[in-house]
Amino acid sequence: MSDKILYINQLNKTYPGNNRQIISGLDMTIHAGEIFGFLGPNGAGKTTTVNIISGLLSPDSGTVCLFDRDYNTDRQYIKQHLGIVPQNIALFPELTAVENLKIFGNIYGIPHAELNKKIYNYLELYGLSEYANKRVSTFSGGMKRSINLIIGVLHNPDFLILDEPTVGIDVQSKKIIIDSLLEMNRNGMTILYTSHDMEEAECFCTKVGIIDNGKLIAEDTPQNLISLYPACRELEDVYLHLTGRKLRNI
Amino acid sequence: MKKLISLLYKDFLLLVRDKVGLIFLFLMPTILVIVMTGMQEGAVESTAKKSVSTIILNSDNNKIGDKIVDELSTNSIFNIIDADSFFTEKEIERLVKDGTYMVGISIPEGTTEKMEKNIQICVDATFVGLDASVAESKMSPISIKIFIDPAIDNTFSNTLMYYLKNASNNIEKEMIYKKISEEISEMGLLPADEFNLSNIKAIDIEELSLTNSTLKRKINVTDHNVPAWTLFAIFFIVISLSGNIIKEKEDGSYMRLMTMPCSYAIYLISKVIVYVTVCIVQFLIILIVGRFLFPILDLPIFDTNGNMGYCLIIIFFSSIAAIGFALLISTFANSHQQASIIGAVSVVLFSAIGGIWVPTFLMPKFLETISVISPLNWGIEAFYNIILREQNFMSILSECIWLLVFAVVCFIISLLHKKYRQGDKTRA
Repeated sequence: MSDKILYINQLNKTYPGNNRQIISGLDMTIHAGEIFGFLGPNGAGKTTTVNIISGLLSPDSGTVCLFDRDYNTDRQYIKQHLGIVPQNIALFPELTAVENLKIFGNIYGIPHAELNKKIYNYLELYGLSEYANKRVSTFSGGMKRSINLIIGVLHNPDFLILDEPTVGIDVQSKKIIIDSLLEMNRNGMTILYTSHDMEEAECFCTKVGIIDNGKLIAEDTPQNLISLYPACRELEDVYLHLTGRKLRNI
Repeated sequence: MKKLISLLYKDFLLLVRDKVGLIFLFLMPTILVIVMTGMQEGAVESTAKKSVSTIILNSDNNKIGDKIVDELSTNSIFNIIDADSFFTEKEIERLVKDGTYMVGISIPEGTTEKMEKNIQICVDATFVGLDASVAESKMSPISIKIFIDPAIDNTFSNTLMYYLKNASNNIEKEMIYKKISEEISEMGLLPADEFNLSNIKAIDIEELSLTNSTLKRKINVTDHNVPAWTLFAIFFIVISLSGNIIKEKEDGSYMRLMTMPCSYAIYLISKVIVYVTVCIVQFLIILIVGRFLFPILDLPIFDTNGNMGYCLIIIFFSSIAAIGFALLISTFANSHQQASIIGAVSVVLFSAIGGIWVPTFLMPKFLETISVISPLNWGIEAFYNIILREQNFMSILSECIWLLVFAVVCFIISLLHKKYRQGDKTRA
């Protein structure tokens, strides 16, 4: 097996009734162990790309391989080894934290005893132990995001996709999340991370890809990208240089 | 299997934690069946007990007059009051006009004598060979006047006319046979007192009930209302289920499930199992009400006549149809509020035209025709076949197939629309 966790080649996607091609000839590769920052302005095609990688959408054309496998032939394998932390809080609000985690954990086939242990460990890590048996609808936004994240990592995925996981949470919670993700990465987990926070991406990601108008316009380590553009002192400058300062209201 | 169990657990928890939903699913239909059965039974009873106040002025005081009074007195519909001999026909008319009585009957003096003379003329004409028109010209007119309050129901006035005609025909027949017997006797053919045809019944009409049971049974309010409101309750799950599906899509949990090793098929199967169970429980609750509570409330007991298995089959296919319909609504509605409104209105319409509120055989012809498009109609007809007509599985097979086809069509439409909206052959 190669060390390519994700391989995308000439990906194209247009929504019916929409003249604009959302993704146009996208090529992208993520290697095992990377923390890949997937950046781009609104309407650039990030979410569509993430949905295709997640298996929620099919491309019009092009190749998408995860773990050297294709969705058409190895859908169950891919889903079993893939973890998704969506931007929207995707929980069952009328169920408790533990109930949510058990339901999703069971779908991944995690053995009962192991699942219970993981649930309580993660709840303790994120400071949610005393809220374990309370309904998620009573949680704050940050607490919900934490549960959202735990569901994505409960089954120790080989590849984790995070869609803006730290939006709307406080600094302390953000630190815990980032630290725990770094720990998981050190243990072998590959991460695809989308964000609008350039500073966070610069610190957190080992590699960055910038998408605009459906194409990957830059792909390298943050430091290399910055050094490519002498006028730019940080990743945000590079980003704005490449994507422009015009507002994107798509 | 573990995934299915996990989803069943999730759907079960979501269901029991929706208190308002539980009230709609279980309490509302139970109350409805009690109230509607009680109301309809009350209406039937009061109609049956209602009697028509009838004043009769029997000036004849002979065979015909007495026969009419006797015939009407045997029927509990008519509350007969014999008018005093001092009353006149005009006074009878006035009493009905001012509402004191609903019906007034005036049998003129000499009715029986005139009838006897007319019969003699007819019999003589027959034996002599006279033309009927000649005989008719010699007959005296006989007129019994009936004054009827316009407010009286047509059913009562038709019944009254039937009894009057029956009474007059019987006495007329008796008199004719007697006269013929006398004539024949005078001719020396037969002794008059040995020849009496008046009691012979030429035609015997036998009422046959189309049921396999030896117990001849007619529909009562319970026979209609228990299955009817069960079906209504089953289809009301449309609101709960479609709202639940949309809510899961809105809050992202559905999409999350589809990114996991969990197929759409398992997701649906879980909902089907939970909601079919809900439907069966709804039926059992209403059945318990029909069997144990109704007798206490002096309502007819609900009896499946030992066909509980067939009833459960009907419930199963009805619930599948309801689930399919819920899926269809959840695909087209943009929010769970919209789904609630569409679901509620459509179920009420389907139940109205399907014969839930009022049996289809009591509807106007055009409504009876369109009732066949309602899945609730298929369900209630299947119940009638089992409970009243006591037929077997083959008699409910076509209704069950229609319900299944309805479910499949709803499912296919929702699947196609789902793919169209996603603009994609989705993998999920």
